[in-house]
Amino acid sequence: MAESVLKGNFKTKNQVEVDKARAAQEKATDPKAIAQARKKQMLDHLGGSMVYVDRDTFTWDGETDAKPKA
Amino acid sequence: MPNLRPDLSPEFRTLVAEIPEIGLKEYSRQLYEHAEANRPHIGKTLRDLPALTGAKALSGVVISAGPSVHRRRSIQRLVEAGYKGAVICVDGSYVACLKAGLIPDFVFTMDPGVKRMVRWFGDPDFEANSRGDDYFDRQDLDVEFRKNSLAQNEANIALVNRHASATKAIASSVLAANVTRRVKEAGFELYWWNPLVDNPHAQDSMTRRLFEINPLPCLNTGGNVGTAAWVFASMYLKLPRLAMVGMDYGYYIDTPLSCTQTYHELVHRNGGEKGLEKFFIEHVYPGTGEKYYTDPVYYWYRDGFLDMARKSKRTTYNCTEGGTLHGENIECVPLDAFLAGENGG
Repeated sequence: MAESVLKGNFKTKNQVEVDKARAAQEKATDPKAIAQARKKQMLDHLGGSMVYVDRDTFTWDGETDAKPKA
Repeated sequence: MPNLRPDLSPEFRTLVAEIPEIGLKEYSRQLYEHAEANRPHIGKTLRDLPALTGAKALSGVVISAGPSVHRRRSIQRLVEAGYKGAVICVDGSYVACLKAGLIPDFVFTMDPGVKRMVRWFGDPDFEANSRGDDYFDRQDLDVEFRKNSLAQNEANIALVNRHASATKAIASSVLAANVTRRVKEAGFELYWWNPLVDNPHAQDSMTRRLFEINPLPCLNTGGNVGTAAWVFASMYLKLPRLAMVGMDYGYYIDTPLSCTQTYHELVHRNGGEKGLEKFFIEHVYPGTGEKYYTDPVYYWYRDGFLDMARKSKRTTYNCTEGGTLHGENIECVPLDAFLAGENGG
């Protein structure tokens, strides 16, 4: 009875998939794996996704650009 | 190398120095995978953008998504002033523009994030993508997204679907598949580009590899969508007068640390909340003398922007009316003063 209540008695509009990465992390028992997964999550957020290293170039359009434009 | 203030803590300095390496290493594979997946969808590129005409060719405003956009009512004030120039918004401020009755000419989107980014356009998989993630609950970019319910999300989907065809989406080649799917189904006219993430002439350049996957024009993103939209407006649209709003790169002083963008990550790095203040630094906005504060990631973004603004050899009007962004070639002026200038005032 309790299990059926916990599962919910409604249907979601879209198919809900279990987040495999999160589930794997939650199931992991190896402290190293857990630490690695958490570090990965932290770096993902801290680093941003598009961190660039070149501050001299604004645009580039392949070899038609003899030199990157600044 | 970033320019580091002398009063930064050692921990702050170390983290700022690590940021570029973190981003590139962690994301390179994802960037390539997304670029490959988007290849069949790519049609028009930045090279195909029609030239702006009339008032839109003379002046433009980049609407970023910092907290000032709401506190200063920047979008509403643009509407009230009847601004006629080009409007370039970032994905995070697009829905706020629509709600205020402003239809942007361009919406700029670039982040490869799989679960969060699609929310800016209304997320068809809202429940699955929001489970276990408090990013939007702590959101400082648009407080409306803090109370983003299923019903609100559905309303956003309908709102975006109604107006998308009037706006050109400036879409990076590394968008996640669900974002690509969403902007296409909403009806945006898409213009594609590649992120310029390193020197394309360097050996093993990531930018060059992206260009080999999709030979699209490359834009420097500065690490964040606000800077990338400014690069687009400056270098592609070449607007003679260019203003920005919502470019805070920091937080209002009354914002709790727990509501900052990287709070959880900093707590994790710090080993707890105690002493977390060392990862934040105060900043006085010269226009008003008001205090703000910033974190290592925004500090890095801001420093990169200042570098690029210096090299741009053009003036940009920062009408954010607060925050941490001021320096060479950036003139901090109230939005009303910029708008008055539009009318010859």
